[in-house]
Amino acid sequence: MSDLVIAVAIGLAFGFAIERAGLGSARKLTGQFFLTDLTVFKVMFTAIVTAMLGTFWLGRLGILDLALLSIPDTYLGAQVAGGLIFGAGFALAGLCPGTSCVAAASGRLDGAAVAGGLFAGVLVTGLFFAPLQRFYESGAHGAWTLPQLLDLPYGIVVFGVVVVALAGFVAAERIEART
Amino acid sequence: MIAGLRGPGILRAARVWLAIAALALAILAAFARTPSPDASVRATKPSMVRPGDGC
Repeated sequence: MSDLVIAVAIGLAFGFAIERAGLGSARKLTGQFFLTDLTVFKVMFTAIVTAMLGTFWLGRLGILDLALLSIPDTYLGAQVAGGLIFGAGFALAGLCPGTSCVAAASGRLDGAAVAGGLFAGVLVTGLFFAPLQRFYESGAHGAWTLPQLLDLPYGIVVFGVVVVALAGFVAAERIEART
Repeated sequence: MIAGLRGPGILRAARVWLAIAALALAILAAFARTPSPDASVRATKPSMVRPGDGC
């Protein structure tokens, strides 16, 4: 029960932060695809860097047991297909699942429509899961992490991702200033 | 008053300092010996719902 309470509290905080950042607006999100507003890119990479550095150092300091982390399994085939469908839906709707819920909660009808489509997609996938299962589990790699993929120490990968993110922030600012 | 820490410039200054802090933590991480989260201790199984999807 306490897990559910914590999940609801984190969800509310996440939704509030997304809404306050303006990411409940499809206009703002589609700016990503026209290279006029790269807020989404900057928000996502900021979240990745913050969570990654926090996880690394909390683990390093003995506050967080990394062995208890749940690492989602990798299924290359299904996840590549899912990424393409997700990207097409994102570009078409101007909203992704989280932002569609935020948009719907703030009274936007397009958000409600996208959230409805999201749940319809989940339902249809569930109804037709049996014939999809073989494809769903194709390209299974278990819990596959970047240090394993690159065969590099954990800390080096953390450093590399931060450098890429910072370079991305600088590039994003320059692109936005141009338009 | 330190330049950039008043008015609208405070956000830009804060971003620069946060970027410097992140880079410093990342450089320290590169030299820290910390084992990676082990694939053998994964807690998830194939299922319809998986954690970890953002956005």
